Amino acid sequence: MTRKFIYTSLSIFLLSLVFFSCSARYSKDQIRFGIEAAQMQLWDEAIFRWKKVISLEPNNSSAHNNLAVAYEKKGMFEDAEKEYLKALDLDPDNERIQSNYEKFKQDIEQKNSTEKKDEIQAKKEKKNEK
Amino acid sequence: MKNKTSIITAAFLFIVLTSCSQTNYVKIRMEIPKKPVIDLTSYKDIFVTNFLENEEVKEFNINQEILDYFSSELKKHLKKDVKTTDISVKNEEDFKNPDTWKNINAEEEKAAFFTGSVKYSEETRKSLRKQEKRRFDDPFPEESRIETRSFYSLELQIYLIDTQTGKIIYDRNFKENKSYENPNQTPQFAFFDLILEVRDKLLEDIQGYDRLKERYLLAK
Repeated sequence: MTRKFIYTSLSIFLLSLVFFSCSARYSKDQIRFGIEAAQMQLWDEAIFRWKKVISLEPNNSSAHNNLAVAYEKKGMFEDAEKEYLKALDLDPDNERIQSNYEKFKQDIEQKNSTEKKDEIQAKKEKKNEK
Repeated sequence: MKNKTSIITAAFLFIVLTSCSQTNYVKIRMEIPKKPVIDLTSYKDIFVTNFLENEEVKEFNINQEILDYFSSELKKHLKKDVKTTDISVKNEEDFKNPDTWKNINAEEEKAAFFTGSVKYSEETRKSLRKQEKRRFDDPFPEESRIETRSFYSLELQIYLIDTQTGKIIYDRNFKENKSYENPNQTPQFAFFDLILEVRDKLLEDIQGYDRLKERYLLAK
């Protein structure tokens, strides 16, 4: 009885190991395929691949990072920030993700400073009207 | 024997862990779009009006030059109907007053006035410059001489004003300087050099542009 239990649990363990290693392999292939697509400027294809990886492995920091880069390229800055933050949350010590996010923040701050200037101007005008 | 096995196991584990923790990456250079400062898609026409001259320029009509230059450049780059219209303001405050602009254009379609003020100045500057002589046996290998340069400065305040509300939808101050070794450089020549710089910056604001950036793509 005990032997049967051991054999069953061992086979379940081995099967799950094979399954997870296969899905990890699949995700890795999808990530690489996405990178190749991005290098050829096929960003929609790259986004599709990396989203697929996230649907299989929601905690894959590389896929989140790559998706953030793709969103930046597409001008979807809010989505890019969400993905960068998710990637950093999953892998806070990754220097590459940190570097990407810092550069992204710098660019956004430059954009915001001009927008803030406009906002201040608009507020001043409103005050003058009152 | 036991010690040897544990060392081998530890080494094996170390190799496995280091190989797993290594992140493969690809550095990619890409153009990231920068959004335009102002969105002019809903504006059908643009009316280029007279510019307020803060300082009169001798020898050429700077206002006419600006009108001609921007009406053709905006037409070319924005692909909108660009017309010139004869509206003059007396002082800088008039630009900020919506009543000045509100009811000038009777058309129902959304349009914008392209206007502003200009200050163009010319200066002759003298500077002492050292020049090396070519002869090695010269007891004085360097000689100084006074060089005269002409220096031009263009200060352009540009406003885009909504014709329906009379409110400013975009404003920016451009200040461009350039010096020329030729002291007899004409103000017209310098003006077109300087306005080219203004045009590029203005079109970046109106149309947006792509910036080349580097990012890491992770392949782990």
